[in-house]
Amino acid sequence: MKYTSQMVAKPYFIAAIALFVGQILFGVIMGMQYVVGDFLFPEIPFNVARMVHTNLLIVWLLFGFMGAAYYMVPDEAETELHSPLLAKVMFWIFLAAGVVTILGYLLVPYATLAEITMNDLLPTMGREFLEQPTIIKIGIVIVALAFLYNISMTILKGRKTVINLVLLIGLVGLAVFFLFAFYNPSNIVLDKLFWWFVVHLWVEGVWELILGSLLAYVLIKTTGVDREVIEKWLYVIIAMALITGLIGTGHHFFWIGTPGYWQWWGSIFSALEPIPFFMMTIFAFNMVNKRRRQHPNKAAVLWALGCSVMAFLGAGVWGFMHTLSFVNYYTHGSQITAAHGHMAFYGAYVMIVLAIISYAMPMLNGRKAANSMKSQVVEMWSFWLMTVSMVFITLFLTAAGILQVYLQRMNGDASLPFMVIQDKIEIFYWMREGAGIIFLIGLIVYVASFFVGRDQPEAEMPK
Amino acid sequence: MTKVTRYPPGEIIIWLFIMAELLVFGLFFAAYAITRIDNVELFELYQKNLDTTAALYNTIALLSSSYFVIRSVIAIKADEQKNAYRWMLLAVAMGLVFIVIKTDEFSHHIDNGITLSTNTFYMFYLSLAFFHYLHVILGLVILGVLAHNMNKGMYSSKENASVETGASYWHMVDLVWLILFPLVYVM
Amino acid sequence: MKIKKQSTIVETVVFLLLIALTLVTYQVGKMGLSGVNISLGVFAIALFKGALISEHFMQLKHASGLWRWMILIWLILLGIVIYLAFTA
Repeated sequence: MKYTSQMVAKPYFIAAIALFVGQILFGVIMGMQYVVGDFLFPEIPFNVARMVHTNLLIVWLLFGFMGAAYYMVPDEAETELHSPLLAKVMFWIFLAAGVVTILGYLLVPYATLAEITMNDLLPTMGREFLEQPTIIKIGIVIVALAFLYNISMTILKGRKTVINLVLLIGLVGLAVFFLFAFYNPSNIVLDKLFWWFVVHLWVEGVWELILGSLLAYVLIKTTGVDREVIEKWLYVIIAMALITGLIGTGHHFFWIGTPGYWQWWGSIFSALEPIPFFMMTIFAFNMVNKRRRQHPNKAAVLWALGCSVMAFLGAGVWGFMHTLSFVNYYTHGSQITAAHGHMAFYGAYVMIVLAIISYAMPMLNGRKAANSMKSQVVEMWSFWLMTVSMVFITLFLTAAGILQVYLQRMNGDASLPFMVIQDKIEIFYWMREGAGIIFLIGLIVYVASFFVGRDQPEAEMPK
Repeated sequence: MTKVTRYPPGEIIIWLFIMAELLVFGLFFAAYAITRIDNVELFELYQKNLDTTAALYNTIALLSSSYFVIRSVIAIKADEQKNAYRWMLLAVAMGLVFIVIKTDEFSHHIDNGITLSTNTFYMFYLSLAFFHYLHVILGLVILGVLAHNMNKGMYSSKENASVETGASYWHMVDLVWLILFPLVYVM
Repeated sequence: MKIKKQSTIVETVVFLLLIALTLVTYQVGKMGLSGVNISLGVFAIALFKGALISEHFMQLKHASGLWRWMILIWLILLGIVIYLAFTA
């Protein structure tokens, strides 16, 4: 680790993992509530558990992105971070804001939360994933601006690499699109349209730039492949992401009351959204095949390769399955959606954050390049436990979704009501919960990997 | 004996863009044709409203523009800087002819109250034509930059990869129109 | 040393051929000829024009392997889809 200021990444990574554990605990709670309807009711109703689960996901990923940036940017720019103090202060502010928000969801009825946080002055609450009180959203913007300022100043005074620039564009985009969370039209059609400016243009837009740059960074470091080769790939990947993803936003405009031409534009462009993910898979495997050296951090390489595969499957393949309007007409808002959502988020964003943590944390902990073999083996176990259980979660939800869609929407006069079908597909929900528990075990193993094998020597580069 | 890969002209990255663009346009063309199956009467009726003569002039403009780009590339490869510049200017001029005619066509549609929501035929025609139109504009910006650089003497028989790159993109724009014109205006 | 300039004859001939084929297509449209066979004939001409562009204008005749064929394959696939759609 060349620059001492890179150390500020460590608290960000630790917070990320802690919040990840919280996210999964609430996921497992909800999985139980699917099959035992009053589990933990009224203390933690389903809708509250859901807000906690989804909000924790976003916040921990943001901690992960920020930590990644604080680690990568000084290294790439070949200069110390502009202000480590600012980064540390922002860390505590962001963490406090996040904790307060989650406690607010859990301890106070949502309507009361809106009242005490003066939502009336500028109403932004009540929308999925954007449930945070307005003052918290403002806090997020301030934290984001401080973060962008810090990173930009560092890049400006140092070497401007393609990886840095793509990362910066992605992060600026993240901040800019978050501003749409403040725009809350009373017209329901517009409300939904602009909501997607945050959500779609994040995860199927600027976040892909962040993903690409993090993946490229980990690959350069662990394979030793020529920077120029990796940079060319990165350009093409993000170009494809933007070409397909911008108008591809239209695949969320099929049924919300917008004009019919969106069914065409949304279908045609979003059908091509798997392309950048496919390219990332080829890119990752190609670079590892062409590598000049065997890096001792095998766990990091495993996360990077796994990420490229799972992102393609979860975001690309499962996304494609329900992106065409004449398919989506039947599957919209079903368990198919949930299946795609889980594997896509895990494959693309959870895994890339875990990959960068896997790469950076050993050095943040004083190692030269990697953890001990013992530690890495435990970490790789966690990779397989979490990844395979996620695949099963997805498969079970897909099965549930296919049945749900057929029985509820495609069976003509014999179509059955929602709750009747939920009873019929209960078995899949039980199996999903089982897979979810294994995922949680995998996550516990992952946390354990940071404590195991600490006093053992580093894994060596093979001779 | 090892096989030597002979790459297409210009930077490889532009060819990836070209294939991506052709993929999108190809899907759109296919969607048009497939939708037409159940809407033949509608499509044939409103197709008659399109200005085929304007489209003819547009096709000739783009074909000429592509030809002039080729003359420019051949000239720069022979170190004929001045000729290369003049041919490129001609290419840009023909591209602007396309823009003028097409803009006029669009304004007629707008005056007649035709929008993307008027009917399925117009949705496809306007989407395809406008999407292509945007690519013509981008192409003209590229050619304009190339012309400007030629005037500054930046290219030569040794340094002309950028020219070939931009030229390749422009030919793609021409190619797409060569499909669009017969498919949407005539067939 | 003066660089020998590439001949422009082939490209000029191709250009004139493209113009001529365009006029044919235009005439068909103008005369209001209809029918599946006319349409497919017009499209076949369009595909041929496309191939002229890819081979001679884009210079892909000098490229090897898939690089040369990629656009031709695109044209063929498009031709198949259009054929199926117009004869459905």
